[in-house]
Amino acid sequence: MPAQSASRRSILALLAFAFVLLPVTPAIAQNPPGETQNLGESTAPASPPAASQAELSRGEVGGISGLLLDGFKGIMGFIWDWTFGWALESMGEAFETDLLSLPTLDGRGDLLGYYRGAVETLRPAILVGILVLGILMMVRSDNYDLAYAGFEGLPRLMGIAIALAFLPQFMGELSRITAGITDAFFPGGSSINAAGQELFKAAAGNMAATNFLNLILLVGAVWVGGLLVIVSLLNKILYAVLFVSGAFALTASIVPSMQSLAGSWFRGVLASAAIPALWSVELGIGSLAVTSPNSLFGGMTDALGFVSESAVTSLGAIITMWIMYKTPFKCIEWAFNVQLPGRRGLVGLARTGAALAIAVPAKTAIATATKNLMNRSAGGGAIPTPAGQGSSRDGSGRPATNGLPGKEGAGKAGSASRTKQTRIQAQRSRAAANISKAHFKYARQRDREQEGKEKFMQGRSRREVGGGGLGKNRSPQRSDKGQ
Amino acid sequence: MIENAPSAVLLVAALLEHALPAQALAFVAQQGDYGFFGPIISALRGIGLAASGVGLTIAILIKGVAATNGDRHALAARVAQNAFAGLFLVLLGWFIYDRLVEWTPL
Repeated sequence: MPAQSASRRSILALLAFAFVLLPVTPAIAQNPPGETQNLGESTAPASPPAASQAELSRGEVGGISGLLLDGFKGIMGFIWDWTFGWALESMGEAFETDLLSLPTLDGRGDLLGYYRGAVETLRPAILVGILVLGILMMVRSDNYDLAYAGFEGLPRLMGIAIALAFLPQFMGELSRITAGITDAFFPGGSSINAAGQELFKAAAGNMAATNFLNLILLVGAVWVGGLLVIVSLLNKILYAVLFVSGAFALTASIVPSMQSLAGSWFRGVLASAAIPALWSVELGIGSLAVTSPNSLFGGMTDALGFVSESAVTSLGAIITMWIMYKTPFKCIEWAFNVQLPGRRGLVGLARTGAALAIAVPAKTAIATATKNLMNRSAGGGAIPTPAGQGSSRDGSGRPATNGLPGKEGAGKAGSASRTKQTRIQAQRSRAAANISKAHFKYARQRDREQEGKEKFMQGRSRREVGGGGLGKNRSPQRSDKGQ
Repeated sequence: MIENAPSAVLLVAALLEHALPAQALAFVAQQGDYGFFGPIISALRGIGLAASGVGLTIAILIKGVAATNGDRHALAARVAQNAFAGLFLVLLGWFIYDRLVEWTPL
């Protein structure tokens, strides 16, 4: 929730910024390029914006508006230096150090000490389990469960003891593996810095109103970058907490009803290790999308040239950042099998609606077909008609066709989805009808065979018994065949 | 810890400790401090030792009075078997636990 409100705030700030920009852009359009004015003095010469300012000054505009524009650019450069540039640079440095890695437990004696304390406190619980098993074994009568528990329980207790003993090694190896993956894919802090400069150059170099994508991207970059720092710190803390609480989770799994705790804990550890690895891959691809978009998008790079010069680049980077933002939440949701709150917006609603719209009529159709099949003897020779098959003609199966009643009259936007839904519905009912037809044929054939067998048996029983009652012999035969 | 145990256990422990001073079984002579779980382990150990001792004694008594009754002999054998199985399970488990604690590369 705070993240969302922060994003709203940043978008509002961006809109306000765009309104400030709007009066400037017609001035660019009206004034042809004139004499060169270099107003990049306000920024430090070695700073990245200074370089971009120098490049900007080539396509200058003259007159007062040009002066204003250059002044504006100078102020922007200054702001860049003190905000985004600084933030991106320091974040790049942070990423270059081991922000993305996990604690390897090497030389982290304090954390290991915590773990050792937890293990030494909890390990005797295994002895309790052994003693309980032994006593159960002594007092068991013919109870199979108790006898089984003895043979089943001892290896499990030993497994837990071994897991407790080697957990630090396991966790250390896991973080080393993660660090290896991160090292392999992470682009490096300088690369991120270069990507930021590239984006800023694109944003400031093309002061068109349509270039707002770059500004969104810049704000988004800083926002997501800050978020990444916070989440990676949280991830480190989570990993350490999971490490120390691993002793508790493993020991708790001695109690049969708490076995799911150990599974959940293990998935949590895996997710915690997966987050930095996934991030490094995503960061690598994201910085690639900005620094050399051709390698990623190919001919598509200039596809949105009418919007802005580097719209595809900006969109690619925005999407990458969105994926990066989503990654940890998805990992945690997977690990602990939860739906994190505050993330069921319109998309979730639409998904539920679509699922209902497809699943309910399909289920109705299948259920009707099955019911018809079950009652085939009562229905005579007619082919069963699933619900919704003739609904487009007579409207008798209307709810089945249109799904939820609330979907009706949704307007133009709903009509397209309704058409698609009807098509899917028709396909499904056709398939159901085909299945029921085939099954009906098969059932009739079997009936015929059954009749032949019955006739044969009747003849035999008549021969054996000498004309015994028809009804007496028939029903047991049929029930035998049915089974 | 040891004063919580029943006197029969105490007796057995004392006997075994005298018999095997160097390598007394941990289950019988509870070496080591088990911290938070200490009292529970001590109590369960007492119960276990008592149950096995009582079970074996009862098995011997049943045997004694069984005479030619095969069912009673079978019952005695089953009781003794259970007592030995439980004892074996605890001894084996405790031994492996001790080894693991010793070999733990923490």
